[in-house]
Amino acid sequence: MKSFELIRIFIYILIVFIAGCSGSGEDDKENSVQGPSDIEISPLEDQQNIDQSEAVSQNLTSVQIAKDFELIKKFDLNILISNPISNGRAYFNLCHAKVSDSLTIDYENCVYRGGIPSSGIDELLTLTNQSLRLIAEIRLFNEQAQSLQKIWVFNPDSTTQTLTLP
Amino acid sequence: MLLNFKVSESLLLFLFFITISYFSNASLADLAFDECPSKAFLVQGADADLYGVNLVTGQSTLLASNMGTANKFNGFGFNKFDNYFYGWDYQNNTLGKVGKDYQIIAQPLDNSQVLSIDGIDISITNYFVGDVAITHNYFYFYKKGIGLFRANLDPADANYLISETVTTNAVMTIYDMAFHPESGLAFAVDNAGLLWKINVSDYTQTESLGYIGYEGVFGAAYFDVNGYLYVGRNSDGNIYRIDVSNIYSESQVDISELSPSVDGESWSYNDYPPSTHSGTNNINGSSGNDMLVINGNISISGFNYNGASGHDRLILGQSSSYYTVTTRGSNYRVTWPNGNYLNINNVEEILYDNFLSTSPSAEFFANGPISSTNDGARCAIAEIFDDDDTTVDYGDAPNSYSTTLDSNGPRHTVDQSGLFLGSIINGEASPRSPIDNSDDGISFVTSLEIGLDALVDIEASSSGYIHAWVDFNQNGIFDHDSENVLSGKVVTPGINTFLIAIPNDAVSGSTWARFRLSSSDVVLPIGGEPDGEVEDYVVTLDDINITRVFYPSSNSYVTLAFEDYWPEFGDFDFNDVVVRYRTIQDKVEQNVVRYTLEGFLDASGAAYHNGFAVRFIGVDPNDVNVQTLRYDIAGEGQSESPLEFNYTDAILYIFPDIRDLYTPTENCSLFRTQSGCNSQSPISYKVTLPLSNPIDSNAAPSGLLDPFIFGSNGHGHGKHVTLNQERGWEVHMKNQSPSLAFTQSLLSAEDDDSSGSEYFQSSNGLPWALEVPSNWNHPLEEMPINEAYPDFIGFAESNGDSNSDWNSNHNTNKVFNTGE
Repeated sequence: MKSFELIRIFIYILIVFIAGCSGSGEDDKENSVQGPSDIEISPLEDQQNIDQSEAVSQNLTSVQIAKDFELIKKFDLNILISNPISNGRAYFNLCHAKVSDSLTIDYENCVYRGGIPSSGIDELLTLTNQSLRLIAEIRLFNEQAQSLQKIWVFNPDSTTQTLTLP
Repeated sequence: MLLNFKVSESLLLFLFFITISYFSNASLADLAFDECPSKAFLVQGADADLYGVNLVTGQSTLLASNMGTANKFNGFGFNKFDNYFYGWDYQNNTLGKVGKDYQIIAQPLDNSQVLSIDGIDISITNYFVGDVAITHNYFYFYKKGIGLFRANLDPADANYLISETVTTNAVMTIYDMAFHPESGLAFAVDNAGLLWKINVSDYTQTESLGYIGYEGVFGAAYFDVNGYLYVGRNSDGNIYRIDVSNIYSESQVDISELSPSVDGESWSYNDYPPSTHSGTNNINGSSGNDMLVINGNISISGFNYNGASGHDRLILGQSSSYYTVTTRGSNYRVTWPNGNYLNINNVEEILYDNFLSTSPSAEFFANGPISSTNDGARCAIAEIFDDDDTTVDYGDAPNSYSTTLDSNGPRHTVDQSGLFLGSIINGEASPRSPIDNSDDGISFVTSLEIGLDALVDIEASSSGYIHAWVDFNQNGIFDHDSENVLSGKVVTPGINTFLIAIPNDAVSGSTWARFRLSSSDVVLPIGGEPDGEVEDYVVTLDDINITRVFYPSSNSYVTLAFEDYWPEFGDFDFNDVVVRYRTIQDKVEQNVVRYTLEGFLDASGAAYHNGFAVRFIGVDPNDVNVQTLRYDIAGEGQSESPLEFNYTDAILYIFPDIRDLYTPTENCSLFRTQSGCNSQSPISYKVTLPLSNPIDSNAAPSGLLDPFIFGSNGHGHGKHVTLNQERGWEVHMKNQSPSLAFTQSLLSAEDDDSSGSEYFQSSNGLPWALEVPSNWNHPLEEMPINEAYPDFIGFAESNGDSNSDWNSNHNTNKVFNTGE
């Protein structure tokens, strides 16, 4: 009788253990993935073994997100740049500051770089909210020439964003 | 009586010195160096100032301005048997010993043996050439015209401090010598730039090994444990490195196999001018097959060798590029670099390359101290650098550009209050890869367009000289001259602007540039400098008039995070596929000519076989120049094209099956989504997509483009997807339409609520793909995004008006620690 009781407890523990191993779909991922060759999943097996729907956070299923909100804030910036010299080469950089809020341009972290044609630049750039403050700069190909710089900051009160230089 | 007195006086004096020496040695017992030092030591000046020299950079530091003498101390070397330096003490005309207090203690020698056997009074002169042997405990000292001598340094030996003659054949014009760490041979470079191998056990084997390429007074010579010989030139302080291990003296010509055989006279260079012909200008062969073997250099000119009627041979020990050989019929003239020549007539055959290595080659190694009087020593069984030494700045380019110490890469002594580029300088024990984070002094103000000038801003901490090279032909090396774009240009503290010319024949694409700031106006892209900094950069050489638009910027990424259980809800940990992503659009005037996509696969917590692709809406795949398309994964070029031609829009399959990119392990069955799996590194990708038919920028896609994940055929992808048709399964960003390869019937299945222009979202607007505007710590496995990022729901429900920086506020224990 006593032995039977022990066997019964053992089987119970075994069942609990097996059940614990085959819970959610993500658990299946953890325990079934041993290597690429071990993970061949037929559609039928898939349905049985990788059922993740129960794992969805209740908070997320009840969240209400606007249909047209793509969960990232972006904006378009129209840049209008003219060449400050009539018959010479000039170059335009639109970059982040080296350190946030500083006045030093970081040429390694730019959104636009290019020569300024005689007709100027008229370009529409798509930017993320990481680019709400930029430094615009015109440089002449001259070792002695001063650069022409302007700090551009996103205008939250405007539906369109524009940068004009000079 | 007088004689007896003098003998007794000398004896007493000798005993006195011996006694003083004994007590001096006893008191110095604790002044031995603790270990074999890695630095070199240099004695300079008429009153023996001692410097420590870092051979890595050439930097010298005054260790002692008073070595206890008012005269020179020269010819010194380190004795590994007792950890003391020994050299010639000019003040006492005898051997001197130096411990870590840097004070010279005279070690009187018993020179009676040399005097009685060779008739030479050693003490009547001083010796500025010397070193301590490595394989046996002797100090060797040499003077041209007098001889090479040695003194036993073993106090337990019966011959302790007794001098002996090695040879009185002292013809070398040398200023220091150094012992090789293993061979027992000593080496020296004479004033004509000839490297000498000195065999101290059999001096008849001493020979010149050839011209090193530099001449002058090489007053300091050192060896390191790897067998490199370093010689310092007094006039300019230049330190040169010579790999003597590649110099062989064994004949490569098996004379016994020559046909016809040598049956006449045979001379070696040691015979020329042969002693038997001393005083004549001609060597006359016999009527047999004569042979003249020239293994080294002969400092004579205008001599003649006249062969007779046999098959006469000339065997040159150096390469033909070293000798200049001119001929007129069977008469030859061999001219050495110093202008000396030898006329050899009636030669029927010349055999070159009698040595494995044709000539020793010295390379500039470091910019050391200038001196008119010096001598160097170091422990030859030590490396020249300390593994923990972080006082040296190295370059970072691949080693084909010579970057490591062994490759004689550029090196500078770090001085954070001295001369450097930018606002910081850090030292490192070895070159960092790929880029040293203290490389902040160079700003490429404009792009580098082929055939035009480019602007660079260079920030210097103080005044110095800037030097720069760009690998224009992309052959993996910096040509010292043709690719030297800035050569000793003066810089002042602050920003200095320079124009650099990009030649017309430069090759477009990515390459490396090296900038070196130094107090020296002559610097190479290799070698050590005692001050300044080196910074290596990856630069892009562009065609003319390229304009470049970056998304999100040129050194940042957005993170794309996908759920792969679509069209059903999954666990929304958004880590089934996580990709860092950047796009670059190159334009010429109004036309897009090229796209570049680059970033990293950051994570994949997926059981399914997913791929990652990007669609170029509006770009016909036939407008892509597939010949110049470049596709790299983990820095390796891929042979298979990633381009899809079957649809109207070009699609690039960047990762056809992510499961193929990593190997699951017991603890990390997935890729960087489980705790403790940081040892798995992100996998880089880069695709350059040139367009053979440029597209007007108004019609060309820009910004994010259309990145998406898809199913890899043959592996299954849930109950809605037919086996072997997994490619038709795609997940795009919210409201982005799928490609023409997509299985339309999947739309609106299960939890998906796509309709009209609304795609890949549920009825409550929840997406299966996110674009995060930064690098991102993705949630751990099974961790819903709103638990990892508590501000996410507020951001999502407010249309982004609230919690706009939701992605920077996470629960640390619920996200994967990217280690960045």
